[in-house]
Amino acid sequence: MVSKLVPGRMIAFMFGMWYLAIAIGNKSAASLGGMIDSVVKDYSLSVFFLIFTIVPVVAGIIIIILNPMMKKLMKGVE
Amino acid sequence: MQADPSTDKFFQSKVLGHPAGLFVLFFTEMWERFSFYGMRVLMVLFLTWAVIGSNPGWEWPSEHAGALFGTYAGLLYLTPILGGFVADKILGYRGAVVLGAMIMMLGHFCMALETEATFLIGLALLVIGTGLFKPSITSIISHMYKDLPKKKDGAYTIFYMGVNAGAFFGMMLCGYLGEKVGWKFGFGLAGIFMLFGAFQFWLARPLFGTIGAAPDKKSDKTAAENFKAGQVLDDDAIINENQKPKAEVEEKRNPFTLVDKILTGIASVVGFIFLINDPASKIYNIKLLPATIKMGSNELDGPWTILLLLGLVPFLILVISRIVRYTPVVRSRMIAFVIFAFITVFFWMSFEQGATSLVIFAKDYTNRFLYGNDALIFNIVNLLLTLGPLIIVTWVLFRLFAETWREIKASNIVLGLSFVGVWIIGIWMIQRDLNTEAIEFKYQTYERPVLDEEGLPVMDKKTGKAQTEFVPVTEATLLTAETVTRQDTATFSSLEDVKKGTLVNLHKEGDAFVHLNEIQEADVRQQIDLYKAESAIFSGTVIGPKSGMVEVTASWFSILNSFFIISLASFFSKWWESKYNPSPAMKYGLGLIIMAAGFGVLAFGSYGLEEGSEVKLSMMWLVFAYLLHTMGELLCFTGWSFYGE
Repeated sequence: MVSKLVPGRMIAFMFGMWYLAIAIGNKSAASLGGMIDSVVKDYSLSVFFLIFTIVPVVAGIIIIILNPMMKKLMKGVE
Repeated sequence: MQADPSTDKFFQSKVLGHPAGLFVLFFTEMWERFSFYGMRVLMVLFLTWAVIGSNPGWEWPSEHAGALFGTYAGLLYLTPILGGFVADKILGYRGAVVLGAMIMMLGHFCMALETEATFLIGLALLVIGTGLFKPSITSIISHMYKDLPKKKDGAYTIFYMGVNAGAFFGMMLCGYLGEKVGWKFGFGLAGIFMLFGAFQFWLARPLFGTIGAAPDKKSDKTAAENFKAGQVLDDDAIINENQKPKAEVEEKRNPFTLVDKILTGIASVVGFIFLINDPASKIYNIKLLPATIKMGSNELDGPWTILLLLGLVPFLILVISRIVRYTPVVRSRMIAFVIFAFITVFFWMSFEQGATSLVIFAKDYTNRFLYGNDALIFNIVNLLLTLGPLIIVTWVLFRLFAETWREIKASNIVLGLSFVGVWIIGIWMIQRDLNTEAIEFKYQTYERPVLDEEGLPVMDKKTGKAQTEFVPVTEATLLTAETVTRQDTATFSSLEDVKKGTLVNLHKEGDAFVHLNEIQEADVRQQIDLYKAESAIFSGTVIGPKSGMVEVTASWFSILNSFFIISLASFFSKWWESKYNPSPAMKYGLGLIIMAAGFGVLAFGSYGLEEGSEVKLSMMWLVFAYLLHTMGELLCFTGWSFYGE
């Protein structure tokens, strides 16, 4: 998919960005995950899991709202 | 088909319609993922596990474990950028795969030594090894299929199944050994299979001809073309170059300017220092960056301020300025790509809880002890879970042997041996669980007030009286005349029958009562001396066997992700082939929401649960959560990039 979206010469740069996104995701996942004990202590386990419920739901809704625009931007991509 | 002489030989022998070499790569990747996931599932468990016990960990606060794991995981995705360059220019892909695998093997063994210094060196070696290995192995596949683009998707699907099979067996076996026998055995097993994988691959080199060999002058030239800016190596770049329609070939070039390079450099260095500083400052109080920065009257968090100002800002300038320089069609696609990449961050931020908080959740808040019929049901499910994938992969193995036995005997033998190993450990594991019994024993307990963190008595909300609890009378307990005592019964798990009336020494570890054998008892006493802790050893009298029992490992739950991927992936790819195939943004949105629902399930299930609560959640909550997480992952990433993680 990455290779379909961007031209050949840009692909290295884009792959770098894609990996960077995963790296940031992983780092923040572990940092937040490590907070499980303190969140449980100060709030509750439910609150801890709600963080990971609400954040992706919001991200998901945003990308669905953007769907028509994304389609336009990606015109011609199979 | 016009075959290139370099790939011609490669396609002579076929397994399941693909060149035999693909399956050599399949198994190489399988053992690499075996090691990676085997280690991953153990790392946070080991670091946070109680420091006194029959299988002691380091009892790090979860924040520390998270900081170290996060930096390791983050670097894993950044080193391939450099590693790919080294592989392409100097080592050749095959050399990089072997060298990377050897470095990773050393890393796993370093971790198995269980000292802090070797543990950190081990992680560094894993990061370096992965950097060499990961981009190289995918490049070899790309090279193999450069004349057969139509078969490439199929090849990646097969390869992806190798990834998941490896993850599955790695988490299952390393997790089991690590938790039940000793952490070092789990970490060590990861290293052993890395070695098997590397050997098997190296011995199979006659099969590959010139594919992935060290660069000669000619290939060096094409490499230089693709690597002008020292960017990520991925052969898709080369492939694309060949297949590009004419219009795109004429696309104006957008070379990296000096400013671009400087911006990339600054952002990378700042990002790298931030990653290292985070665990170093938290765990060892070694500060590479100032803890706070004064801005007028405000005190800002140092590392974050530096990361945002010196890391993120140059990076954004770089991305935006590059996008602006493109022609409109490319530019709009690039904007779409950046949006997807941005959203991806939030996907992994939640999904990767699987490596940290979900493992801790399984360890501390899930009821992992099953008795009687429940234990039997679990054992049957686990038997099918183990044997099913093992039989399928072994079948693939025999197909490969039938095709390549003449050419690469030694490689086949090594691979065969590694499988004998997996079968033996798998069967040993199943029979061990089947033979585990709950032995009932009686022991003396005494009443004491429940204290909170500050040592103050906790009051019952309803009655207003101080809460009390009954705890074992240990060898360190001093009983006074007023202390209320009573006899309680409980069970410990045992592989053999213990005679009625036997006096046993016990130790409470997490939720479990552990029957200490002589060696374990000596170890625990040594730890008690070392940490100047109060002994929690107490004695009990055996009543007799009660029922069958299984202590499900905390790492067991992680295998569900791989299992669900293996079982559901084909459903999703069929869906994408149908006319109901949603648009990429739609898939992404749905995937995120379904994954989030998995966490919603856990939030709902754990509602009202308190810290250190005696009440544990049923295993089914976590099973269901992993099912939803996996469905979300498949929605977001199948058919996009084969490298799911």
